[in-house]
Amino acid sequence: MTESADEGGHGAPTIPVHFKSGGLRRKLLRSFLGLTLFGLVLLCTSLVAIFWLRNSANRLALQHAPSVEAALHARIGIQRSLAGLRGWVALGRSEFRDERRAAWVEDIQPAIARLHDLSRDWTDVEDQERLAGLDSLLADLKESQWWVEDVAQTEGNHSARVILRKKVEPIARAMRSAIDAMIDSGDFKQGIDERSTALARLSRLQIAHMSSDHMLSNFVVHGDGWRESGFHQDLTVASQAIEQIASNLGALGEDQRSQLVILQQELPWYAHFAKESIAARRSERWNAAQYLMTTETVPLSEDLIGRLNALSTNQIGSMRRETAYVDRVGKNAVFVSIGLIAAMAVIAGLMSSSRARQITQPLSSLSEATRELAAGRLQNNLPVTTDDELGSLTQAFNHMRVALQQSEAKLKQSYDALAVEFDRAENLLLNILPLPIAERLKTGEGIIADSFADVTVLFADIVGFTQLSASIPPEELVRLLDEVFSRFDALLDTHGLEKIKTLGDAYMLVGGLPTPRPDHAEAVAEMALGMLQEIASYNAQHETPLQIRVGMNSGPVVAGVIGRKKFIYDIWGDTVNIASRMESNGLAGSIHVSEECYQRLRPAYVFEDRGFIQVKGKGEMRTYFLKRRTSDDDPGGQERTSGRG
Amino acid sequence: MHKLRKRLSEADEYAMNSSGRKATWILLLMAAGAAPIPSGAQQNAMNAVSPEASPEFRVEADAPETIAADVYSRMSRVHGDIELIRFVMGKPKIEGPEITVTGVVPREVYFQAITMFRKANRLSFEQTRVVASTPETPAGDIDPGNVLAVVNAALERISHVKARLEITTVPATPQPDSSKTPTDVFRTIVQANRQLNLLLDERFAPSDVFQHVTLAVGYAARLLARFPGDRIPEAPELIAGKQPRDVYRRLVGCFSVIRDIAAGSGLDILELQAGDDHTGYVTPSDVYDIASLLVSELAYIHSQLDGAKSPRQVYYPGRKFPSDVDQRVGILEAQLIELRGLVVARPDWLRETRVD
Repeated sequence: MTESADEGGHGAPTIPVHFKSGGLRRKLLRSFLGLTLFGLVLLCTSLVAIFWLRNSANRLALQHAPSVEAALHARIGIQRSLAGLRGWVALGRSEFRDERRAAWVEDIQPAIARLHDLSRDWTDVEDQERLAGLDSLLADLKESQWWVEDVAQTEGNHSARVILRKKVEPIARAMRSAIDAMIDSGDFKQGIDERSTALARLSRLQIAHMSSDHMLSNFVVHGDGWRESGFHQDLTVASQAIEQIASNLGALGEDQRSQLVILQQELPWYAHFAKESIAARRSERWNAAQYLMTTETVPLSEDLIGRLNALSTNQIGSMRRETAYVDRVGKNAVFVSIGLIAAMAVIAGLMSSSRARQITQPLSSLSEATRELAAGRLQNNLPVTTDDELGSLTQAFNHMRVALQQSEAKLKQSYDALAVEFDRAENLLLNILPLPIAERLKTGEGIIADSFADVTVLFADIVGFTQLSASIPPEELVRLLDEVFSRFDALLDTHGLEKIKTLGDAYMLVGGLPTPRPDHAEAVAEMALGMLQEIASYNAQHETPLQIRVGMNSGPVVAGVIGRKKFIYDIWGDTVNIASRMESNGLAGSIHVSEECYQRLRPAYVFEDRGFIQVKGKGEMRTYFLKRRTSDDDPGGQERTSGRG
Repeated sequence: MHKLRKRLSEADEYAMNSSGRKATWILLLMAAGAAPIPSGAQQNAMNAVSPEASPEFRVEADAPETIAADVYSRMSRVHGDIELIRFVMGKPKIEGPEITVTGVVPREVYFQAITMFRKANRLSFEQTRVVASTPETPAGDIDPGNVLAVVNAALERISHVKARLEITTVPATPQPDSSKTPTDVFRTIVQANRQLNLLLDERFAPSDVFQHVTLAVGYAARLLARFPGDRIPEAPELIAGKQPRDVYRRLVGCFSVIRDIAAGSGLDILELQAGDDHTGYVTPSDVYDIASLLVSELAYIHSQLDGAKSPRQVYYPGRKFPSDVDQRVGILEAQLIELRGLVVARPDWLRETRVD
């Protein structure tokens, strides 16, 4: 903050309104923002916890559980397809084939597609890889099932039957035809016995062949009725019969011989392909579809089911772990939230207290300083500790303090000056008016007119003043009057009398008002004597021949202030007129008093009776000259009056 | 009698242990004198059980390098023998134009020769009961020498039939014409196949085609296994009344897709053209031949896959009609179209190492 106030100067101090720190507003803003920020942190923490819990719940509800469900669905679909395939292989009923296909369309493919959708949010890489591996295996399984289904109900599914039908049966038919042809032929060359023998042998051959053929067909087609020894025995019988027939070719006709050749040619092949067919029937692959299903489809299905189980188990495990974790985090979140709320309360309290102290401390200092200033005890500036409005206020306060003290000093000076002036005016007023009258005027009393029953009025006048004023310069004349009247004024104060006014060289005073006093006549008499002495003193001091005439009268008067401007305290009444007449009819250097005055002063003073004199407007009056105090002549105080008459 | 029974038992055991020697016990049975077998039949049986080709049909190891002209020359002998048999059996001659192919390589000729062998083998069974195992496909690149070996094996089957029919005439074998190419050999084998089919009692039927197309489906499934997704689509609806020519046309279309797949994979296969003038004479055997060609090409692409599993064994499907075959070709067609799209997206798929 820049201190630019001019403490001693007359210009208005410059109080900064812009602060480097941004001022109190920014501090308060920071304080509030700090609290708000902390609150926001708390809210954000809570929000994060809430969102995390929500996401975890979503993951549990929308990811793991559906993943487990989809894996189970796929597994069920695989089992369903396998069951359908088994039914188709075993029974060849189309509903089983349709069931297998429906399992793929309704169960497996939707479930796997669902798993792929869900896997986008999986975090377990193992499951991702497991699912990726499932696709290839599912394609293998689907293809494998297709092949099983395709071959299951075909002739080729049983290779033994194919051999039987394609190879054995044509030979067997040829043999049967040859035997039948030989039997049916009447082309025997020898006698009845040989013929019977040949027919018997042919019959034995026919029976043996039919027996072996039936046994073979029964075994190949139905898988039962097989007797190895019986089959070999039939073949042996057939072979023997052919050998025996061939051993007597002479008994046979040409056609029979050619048929015998066929039998001789076909029997070994029959035996050969019969063995081939039997071997195929005995082979583990006798049922191609069954074999393919057993060796490929089922293991593939089991592998897939195992993987799906592993996937669902893993998902269930993840679900359980996350459930436990969510539960744990949820509890912790509550505790953390409570802790944060408590921390926020503490920190908010500390921050608020700190900020309040920072803000109120200067205010308290200012308040205290203001009280000190009001009490007039603050002499030093408050330290400006902050760069803000409070600092500015402190600075302004300091300036105010300085200005106030300066104003106070000026005011005091003015007051002193005013007091002096007031005193002067008061004195001046008191010079014009008596103190009580002046007080009454100051209180706003309008018209002051008081009657006094008994006062003594004195008039003094410099004798020959007119001639004197013509002989000396006016300045000197004024100086003369000032000094003379000043001496009278001093006497006036000494005797506690009231000067009424001066008029030219005349000096008028009264005793007994405005505050009545019983000795007003004596006081005025003392004044008059003193005035004479002062004149004598002045003359002696200035070597001048000044003389005054003094007239005194006692009696009632009315005193008051007249006018609104240049007003004076004046007295009216006949007593005043007579006192004036006493002066004007008096003698230079003497104190001329009336009868009323004389009566009040005798016997304390020495008088000279002047007798009766003609007083203008009054007629004839007896007057006296006051000479001195009686005590000056007679310590016993005896009244003495000398008279002319 | 005791001797005969003993030899029968030994023959059983021997036959069960080795498919290549299945007929040995018969030989022993006959040799034991159980029956006076005529010399022709006995000779046929002898040939049937022989695991090795007779010297006439053996390709010597130290023989000069075989070229297409040599195989073509040998096929002339095959055609001559077939014609002799046809004449004796009174069977009809083939009709219709030859199939039009270009850019044939020995591999494709080889598989067509295998088809010829199968037909000759079936003819041999029907006429002599003597059968032989299909020659194993050689590892690595197939050259005219491999083709010649299969042609000789087929010729041997035909020779057995000739012997059974007591045909002693030996057709003249022309000198090799060096101008002949594998394409010429392919065409002549196709013609032989067609004629052989006409000699059979049980001709190649839709069920054989069905089986072969199923094998192609198996190959296609193995190829599609290199990509994610289903490998065998749902079968299209069965449409009754289909003719062999309809299946033929559809297979030719499949072949075109295979050409696209091969081209997209950086492989060359022959160009096949079969217009309506050809398909008008189509028999199930012709369809079988074209199916064989498809299988051979798919097998070739399959052989280029690193670590691919062998195709699945296919089984005799029983009686099938052209409509059944057409439906199955529909599966193959869908597979191939799917594969073509996938190959376009991943042309280097054959070079990606993977063990299925």
